[in-house]
Amino acid sequence: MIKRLANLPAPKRQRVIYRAINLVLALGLLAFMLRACT
Amino acid sequence: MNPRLLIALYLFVILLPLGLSALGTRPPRALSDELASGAGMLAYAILLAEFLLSGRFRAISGRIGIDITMRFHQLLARTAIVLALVHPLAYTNPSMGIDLSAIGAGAAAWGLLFMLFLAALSRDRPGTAHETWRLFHGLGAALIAALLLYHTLYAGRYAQDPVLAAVWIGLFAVALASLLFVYLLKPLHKMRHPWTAESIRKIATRTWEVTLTPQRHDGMRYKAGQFAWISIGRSAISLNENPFSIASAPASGNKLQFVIKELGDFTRTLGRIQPGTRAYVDGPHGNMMIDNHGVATGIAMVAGGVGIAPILGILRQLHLENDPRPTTLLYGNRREDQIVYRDELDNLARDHGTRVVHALYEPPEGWDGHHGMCDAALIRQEFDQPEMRHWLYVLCGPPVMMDIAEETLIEMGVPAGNIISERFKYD
Repeated sequence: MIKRLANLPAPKRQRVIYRAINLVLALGLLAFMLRACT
Repeated sequence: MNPRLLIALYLFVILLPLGLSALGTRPPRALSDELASGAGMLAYAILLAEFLLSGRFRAISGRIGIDITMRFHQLLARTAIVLALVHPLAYTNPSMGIDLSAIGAGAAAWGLLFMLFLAALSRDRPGTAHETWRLFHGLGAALIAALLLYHTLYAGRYAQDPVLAAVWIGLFAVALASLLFVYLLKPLHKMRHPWTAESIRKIATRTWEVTLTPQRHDGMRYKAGQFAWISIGRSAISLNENPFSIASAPASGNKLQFVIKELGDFTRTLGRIQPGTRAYVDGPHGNMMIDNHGVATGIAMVAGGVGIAPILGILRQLHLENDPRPTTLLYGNRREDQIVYRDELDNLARDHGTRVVHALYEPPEGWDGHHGMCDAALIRQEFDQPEMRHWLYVLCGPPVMMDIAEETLIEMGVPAGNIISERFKYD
């Protein structure tokens, strides 16, 4: 997957990385919420 | 710094406050309250990290490129805005039992953040003074960060933990230090290393060549293909500086040459600048350098319009170093009178063996070069050969041209790692 990502044109690669960062942040937020509520 | 390491470090810093908050034990609250707290913490952490993504730090932008750094600065600002929007709206009872001044500080920062965001979106509109916008953007962001620190420390449920409070203060200090570095230390450094505009001459329609000479210092160490922020006829502390690619070769001496197209307020005044005018240079920046690709068996360059500037620097350097690798240049312009350094390019073709292919969108009668821009057909025609898949490709020009060139090269089997480029338009 990383190999496929590395072979994408720069703008597409940046969009994928940005979405991945947002996904990690969203998962982090979700984990925090669930931990704090319990 | 390695891009993967940089992303990992970024995520660690942004998620650190959330992680520390999750470690403590507190009475449970409604899920929406925790969403509000978490979103607020993430938004503030992203905002503080934005100071380091301003594009002026070589440890960050030197490896991934200033264009990509700035692109992520813009994209992550959008994430921060969404989270900042969620933060006050998700609370079931936002001001219950909390210091009103801390709530006020948060509300003021919230309003200012949206103003800053809207101003950033409209910064390229005609009539927007770049210097005013930069000052507002930098100082506005610092004010927001300070207001939010107060808000976090006095209204934040989790910041009552001394470790988390120390983390917030530490992140704020780093952000503020980065701002001071850009707005204070860099100008002081520039003040001690002034330059002189030795010559300013028109070399094509709406295109100028500017040569700067170092004044009482040795100049700047740079690599061919890099760029610098320059200001001419303004003070060292002026925020009115513009990024331009360096067209000279490091091997040619300590003078810097720039090829500049008339596009904005500053560039339209180039013709009025007198030789001998003092100039300041912040650089070098950028990572469009061929040095990191020593194994490439040949070098192909695709330039559109003023995108020839850094490519010229690379070609000149290759020639001065007697680099034996074959080189090809595709150089696209709208009209023939926009071609710069035609004689020098002819000389490079003769003396260095560079294959130079001119493309014109509006060619004159009798034009024997390529008709049209540097499009997919031309790229395939010139580069679609098995041995050229191991060449290095350097792209600089309008975004559309670069998108087409990059996609076509990848379709042809050129690894993306063999394509280097730098963009100055992000949206």
